Amino acid sequence: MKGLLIKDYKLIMHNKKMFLILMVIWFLALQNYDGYSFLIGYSIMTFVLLVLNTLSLDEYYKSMPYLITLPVKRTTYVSEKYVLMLGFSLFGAGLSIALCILLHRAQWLQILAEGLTIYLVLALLQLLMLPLQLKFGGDKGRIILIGLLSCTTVLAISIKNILPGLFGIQGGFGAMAQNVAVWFMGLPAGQAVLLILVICAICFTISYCISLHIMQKKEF
Amino acid sequence: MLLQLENVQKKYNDFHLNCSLQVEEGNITGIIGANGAGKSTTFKAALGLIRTEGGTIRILGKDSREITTEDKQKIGVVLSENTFNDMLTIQDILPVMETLYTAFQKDKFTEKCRQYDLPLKKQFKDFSTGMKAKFKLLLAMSYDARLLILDEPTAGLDAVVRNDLLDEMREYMKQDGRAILISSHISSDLEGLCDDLYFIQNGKVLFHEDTDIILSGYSVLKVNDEQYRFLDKSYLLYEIKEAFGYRLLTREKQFYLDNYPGIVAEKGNIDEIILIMTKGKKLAG
Repeated sequence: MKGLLIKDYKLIMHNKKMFLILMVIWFLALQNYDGYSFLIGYSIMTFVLLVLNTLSLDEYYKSMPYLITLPVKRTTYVSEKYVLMLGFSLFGAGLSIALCILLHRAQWLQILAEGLTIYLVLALLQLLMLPLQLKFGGDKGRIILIGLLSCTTVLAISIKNILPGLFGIQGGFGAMAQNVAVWFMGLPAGQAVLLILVICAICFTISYCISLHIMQKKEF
Repeated sequence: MLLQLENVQKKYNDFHLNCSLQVEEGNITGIIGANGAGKSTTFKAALGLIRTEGGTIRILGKDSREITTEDKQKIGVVLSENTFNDMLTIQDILPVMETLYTAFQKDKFTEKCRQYDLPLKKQFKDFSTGMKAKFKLLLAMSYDARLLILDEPTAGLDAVVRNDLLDEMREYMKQDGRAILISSHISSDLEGLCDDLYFIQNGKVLFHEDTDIILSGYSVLKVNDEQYRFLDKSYLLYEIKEAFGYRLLTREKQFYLDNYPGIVAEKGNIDEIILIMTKGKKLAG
């Protein structure tokens, strides 16, 4: 895996100009804008896109068949992308949360809570993006992701409007979601963190297993 | 035996690969065939890049499904596609190769790159076709692989560079225990390099022979209609009807020269043999 990590690191370094421009914009926004959620999300996504870009470039330049003939297993190729993705997104989250706290120390608890929530949401998005990119390639994968997210939104709105009426849920879907949120907030901190970690672990395992399966079946 | 394919099957719509071949230690084995004949599919099957639907593949003496990452260190590969990502440079891939291959000869490889005017800090996307071909082959030969699997390594190269690279392959084979499987469109390259040749057409091996036998044993007879009528056809393999008469493929040149003094018998060359085999009619001989 180390060899593939070095390869992707070198590839990312060739994109460093674009990365630096994005980070300068981010840093300027940090000093003049109070929307921490957006700033932290922007930073995480910049790091995530750097990693996804390595996958797109492997596919675009048709180097994947050769990479598979190297002394690595197909599963190692998948694991390396997950390791890189987790590493970069964690670094992006850590860096942006730390800088936001540094500039607005008084609101550190709010920034930390918002930052971690955004990271978890984006982590789930990454876990969806990787298998899609492996299966359909960079461009198609992104289109399918947008389609999937649009369908999910439409489905969610439909459920919100239709389900309460069908099952007679008092107060509609909003009230149901609120009940779940209240239940969650009522949990002791330890249990809440444990629950989040379990959900993340389940999502990670499902995404990783799907990616492994895609890679094992893939023909070049 | 470093590579053995037995009745390897793969179907794509109207194409069906059914291939058997062997690459023995100490040998350079060539595969020739037209575009779409199944050469690249055979290479991909051998390297596990596609899922086969039947047959067995043994590589370095093992079933291909049991090949480990350590075994893969002993296989050098040139594919018609890229090697590493085109955004990278030779300088970038040196630490990658050092990590992946314990036997990677970094100094020797960089020296060879300099010898062939390959810039270390230029991105592969800015390499010419010739530069890419040279780099791919030098990279495959840079870590003491026992088996080189080279799909069209000389494609798109001028004659001078082609000869240089063919010399590199000959040099590589001076060490015992190695073998090369190579494909090329240019039959003269393979004639001068390979110990034996497979000719593939429509996914099937049409012909396998030692190069020496092809060059010394096979002969193309040119006869007119009159000569053809009285010819003993027992030792004829293929025939093509042409305007002046017939072109005939045989492995018994001497028999025809001794018994039919007026016949023109030309020394076999791969292009002509392939042409007669693909366009001609198969005979009992």
